[in-house]
Amino acid sequence: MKKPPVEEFARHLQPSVTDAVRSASIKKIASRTQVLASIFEDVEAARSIASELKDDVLENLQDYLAEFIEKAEQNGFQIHLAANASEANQQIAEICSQALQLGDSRLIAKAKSMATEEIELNHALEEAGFEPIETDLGEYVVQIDHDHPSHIVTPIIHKTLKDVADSFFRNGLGSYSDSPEELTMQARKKLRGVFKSAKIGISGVNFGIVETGKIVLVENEGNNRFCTTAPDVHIAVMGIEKLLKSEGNLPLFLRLLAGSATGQALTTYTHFISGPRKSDEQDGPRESHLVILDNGRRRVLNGKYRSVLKCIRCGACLNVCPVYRQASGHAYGNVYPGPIGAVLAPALHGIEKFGHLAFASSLCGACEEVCPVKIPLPKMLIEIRNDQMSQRHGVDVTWESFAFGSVHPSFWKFGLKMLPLTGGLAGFHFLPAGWMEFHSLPKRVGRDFRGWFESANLAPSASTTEEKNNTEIENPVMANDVGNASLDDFLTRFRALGGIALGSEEKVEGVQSYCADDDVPMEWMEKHLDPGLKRVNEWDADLGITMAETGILETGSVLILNKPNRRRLNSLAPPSHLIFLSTAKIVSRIEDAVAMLDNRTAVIITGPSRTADIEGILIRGIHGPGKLFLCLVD
Amino acid sequence: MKIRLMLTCLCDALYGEVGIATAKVLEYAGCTAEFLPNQTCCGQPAFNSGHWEEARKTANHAISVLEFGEQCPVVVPSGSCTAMIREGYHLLFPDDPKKVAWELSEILVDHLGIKSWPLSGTGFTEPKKIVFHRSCHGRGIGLGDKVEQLLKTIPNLEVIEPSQPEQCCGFGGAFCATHGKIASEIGNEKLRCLHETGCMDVVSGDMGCLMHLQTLPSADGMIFRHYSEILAESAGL
Repeated sequence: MKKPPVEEFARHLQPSVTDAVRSASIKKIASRTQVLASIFEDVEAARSIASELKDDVLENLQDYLAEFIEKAEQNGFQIHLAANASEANQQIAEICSQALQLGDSRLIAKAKSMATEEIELNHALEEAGFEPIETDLGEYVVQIDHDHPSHIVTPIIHKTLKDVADSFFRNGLGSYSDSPEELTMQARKKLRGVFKSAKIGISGVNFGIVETGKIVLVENEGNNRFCTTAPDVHIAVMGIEKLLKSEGNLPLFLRLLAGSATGQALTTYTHFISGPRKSDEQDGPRESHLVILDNGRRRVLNGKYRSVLKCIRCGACLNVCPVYRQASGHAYGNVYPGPIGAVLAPALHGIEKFGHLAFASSLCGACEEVCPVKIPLPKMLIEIRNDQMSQRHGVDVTWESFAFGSVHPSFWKFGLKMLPLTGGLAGFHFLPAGWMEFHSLPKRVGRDFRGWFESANLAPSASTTEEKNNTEIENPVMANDVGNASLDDFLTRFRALGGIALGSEEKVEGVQSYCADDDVPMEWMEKHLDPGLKRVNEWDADLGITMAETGILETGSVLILNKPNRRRLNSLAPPSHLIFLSTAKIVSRIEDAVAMLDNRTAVIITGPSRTADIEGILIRGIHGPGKLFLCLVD
Repeated sequence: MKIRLMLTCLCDALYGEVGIATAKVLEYAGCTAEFLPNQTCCGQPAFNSGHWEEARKTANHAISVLEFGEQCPVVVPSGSCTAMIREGYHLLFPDDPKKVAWELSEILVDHLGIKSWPLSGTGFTEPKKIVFHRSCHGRGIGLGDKVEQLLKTIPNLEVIEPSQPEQCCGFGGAFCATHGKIASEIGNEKLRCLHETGCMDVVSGDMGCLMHLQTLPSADGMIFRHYSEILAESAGL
């Protein structure tokens, strides 16, 4: 008998892949649980609020989208509405054609984006004569291997260190190495060339903010910041459902997304983009395009699977899913694997094509329990199963006879008596061949209940105690109070992320050159730099020096606002970054920092650039600065 | 308190001892247990397989026999069937009022207010260890650690929690026949987690999980029982 596709795939999967996926998933879920519990007093309540906020977005999507577009246009974004994948691809190719002059590099620096995977943008751009290069480490490996990502967040969770080492050697990235640090540096070098020469950068969008018309992107490596900062033209691709009403809603979602996806309190870079560079700004793209993608979403919005559009693409449902752990992401045959994919794919692209995915689940419910926006995935999986079965014609003999037996008690009891003769339960409700391939027959154990009950003489023996009242517990959502935390706590968190806090007289070692924002006072720099350091441009500098607007106690992060006398690349391009932060400016929580945003682009930096794409091994400095120095000033 | 026992099709067909233990435990706790012999199945197997028309027939029969009202609580020794009655029936009959059923531990702990077990006597005379598997549907209906907490009060009984307690056993009804390789590997992973505790005596609240696990080859040498059997045994029933 033909096996369902996910089962068929799992049967031919290399055990090394299953092992890689399983061990990574177990680690990720454990750190998710631990981090969310440390961030929220009540994780449940946090998820409920996030769920309701997303419900509100979907409820009012038409109005919110109109307002968002209006505000985004005011910010200078050029908006393109795409009804489907081919429309989106065509629009993007068109923008790229117009952006490039004869003789310009055809390179496009591409950041990781599920929406662009969904529309198969790279393929379309290559057809149109462009050379899109994926710059996220995992996505880059996928691209040079002509593979597909197998996870929403960690695209090469199915690959081992050796796979990556072989691939880099085969593709001429450098001499053979199986050191994750060395491989990361090979990728850094290769992709740095792309960031320098590409005239066009393409990214996805994590959140579009209705009230301010900004887009928010989160990432760990820094490639996303490069793609949205260095090239002349930035194109962002966003599904229509990615909106949040206000910036005030954002901190909750940032915490839930980082915690659920990678077990971080906050991702390394939280990038707030408000269109192209303003006339008084020194760097950033000159054109910003926003392609807003429908591709089946409005249909889903108006149907019974609407709430699947609440997904914020954290991948936690994959990590916790026992089926995903055994079958891996590729088994699902579409860009969205795991439980979310088993609902999203049939909802977006049809029950006929992907309805079978809904049957690849034990309905254990773990996905819904970890979902940061409480999407009722198990219920939807069952509904999709029913949708698919309802489309079939004719009678299913197994279930028809099961139903018949269950409504005719005498027949039912007769059937039970016959069980030992017909081969146990396997002959009754389950498809016997499938069961018997891996299981033995279940055996009847001990006495039969019905026979026992008829002869039993039961009498109550104990007195009942009083019935208990269920008390409703009020659980406010709030991050653990950091209001009273001292400066030391901020420094402890900053150091735990891998940052280096400098003493008041301490110098930055091991650098020969630097670049700095214009507003950094000379005497501060003199105090912490060796005399004789050369001031050079940001691409060549060993050290970039910037001022931070504020520090965030909760996460050990710093907020850097873009200003006319600053350059975004100073905090991104050099391998080391020195931040001056006034102790008076430290705030308690992410909310306080978000409240300080103006109408310019900004970034919250939480530790050095990092990746864990190769076997979950943490490597610093993949694209952004690997060394992050902090100097507190009074 | 008068209650109505829903046996579940698995205990009806294979695991009569679980029904017997459940009935004894309820009587011991002061309930009068009624068993209506025309009951069959809740309909979950057909429901989960997408065959809702057939599931409605089975569910309608169950409702006509057991009612699932507030007047005479229906008690089920299974988180899975309880979830079906509370949530599944609402999907099958969205216009009807929600149906009510109670998993055994909910009646014992929440309704009868039982905080330690047994109600009298000394529990087990010899030290005993069990490893407890939390079923997914038990989690789904919000049991949390209710069963383990009750078991932990039994003198001389040590209740061990395996690693990754939230992971499924892989059963999933027809899933484990249609996706046999995946289901059995999930089961093997669960058995590894149970086995590494060094305890071979596995206890759970859902016989579906235990049926699936104990028919896998790697379950050799392990004993699988419903927690009602532990409650009954420790109270000398």
